[in-house]
Amino acid sequence: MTEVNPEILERIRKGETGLFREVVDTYKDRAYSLTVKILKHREEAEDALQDAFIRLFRAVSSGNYEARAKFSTYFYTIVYNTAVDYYRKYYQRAFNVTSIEVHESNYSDGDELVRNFEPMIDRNAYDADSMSTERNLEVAEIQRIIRGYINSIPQQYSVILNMFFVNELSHEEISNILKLPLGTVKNRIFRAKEKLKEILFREFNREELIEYIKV
Amino acid sequence: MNDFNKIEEFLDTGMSSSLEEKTSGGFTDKMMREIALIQEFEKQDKKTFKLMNVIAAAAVSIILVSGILLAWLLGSGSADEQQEGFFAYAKDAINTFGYKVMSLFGLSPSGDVFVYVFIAAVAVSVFALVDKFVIRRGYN
Repeated sequence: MTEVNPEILERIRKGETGLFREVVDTYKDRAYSLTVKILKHREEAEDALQDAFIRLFRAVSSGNYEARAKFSTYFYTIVYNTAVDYYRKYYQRAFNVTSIEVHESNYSDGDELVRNFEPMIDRNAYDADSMSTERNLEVAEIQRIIRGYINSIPQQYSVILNMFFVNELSHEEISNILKLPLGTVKNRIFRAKEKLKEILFREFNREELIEYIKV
Repeated sequence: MNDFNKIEEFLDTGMSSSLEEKTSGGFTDKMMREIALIQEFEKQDKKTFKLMNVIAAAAVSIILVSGILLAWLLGSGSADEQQEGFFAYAKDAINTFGYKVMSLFGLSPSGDVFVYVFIAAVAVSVFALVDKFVIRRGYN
């Protein structure tokens, strides 16, 4: 896990503000991934992130951040709260990470994960002449499916997945930041992965999948 | 590594890379310019705040000195002396109004108590105004 050296934070507090560039470079993309998941709007997400960095800078330079707290948890809490504030202003409603709206009468558990997702695999598009080319294309196709799936899942899942896989926060840290029960956090990560496996195994058989991912 | 773990690892990597986004080019430079601006504003704010403090201290001093002077002017003449002018008129008016109001409640305070209460109320009001428009504005 990438963590900013506490010594750098201390030097920023003492006035070496140019070092803040290092903090921005270390976290900007991963934090941006989170604000995009919340806001679903790239410009707003970047503005929110800029605001979050300013809040962080003020906290560090004024000595409000205490090194006792883990820096990444502290920072992502600021990022999450700032993005939620922007969401409220932009969409004129509160951001709800707790419950997922389900309207369909024939809803079954996990449906909300694939409501807007259709894999659409076109196997005829592959050139079967070269085995390695075919394999590469299949791997690319698997990755395209994963990307499509991730882009289609509700924010209640994508925010948690982003925190876990990209921001590298633990289940407990996510639970604290989102104020969600630990079980809910674990369950959503598990269900999201299980649903993805189910989709992939529907399109590829197990051996085929293992063969492709050996590359 | 068994097949199950291979699939798990592949999915974790795949999910992670699918979730990742990139900020626009020049984000860090923009951010650092913003930070430099904030620092400059904070410096200017500190200067303004110092000036505001001096103004506020002067205003409070004027209020206190005026209050003391007014009290001294009103209290310096003996009861027998004929007082004239605006202060004497104002003192009488305040006292008369105060006695009338208090008599409604069956009370009859002695001396120039209403004048002092009035001066104190004016001082508090002026201080509150200074606080609202000068001191607090200096903080923001």
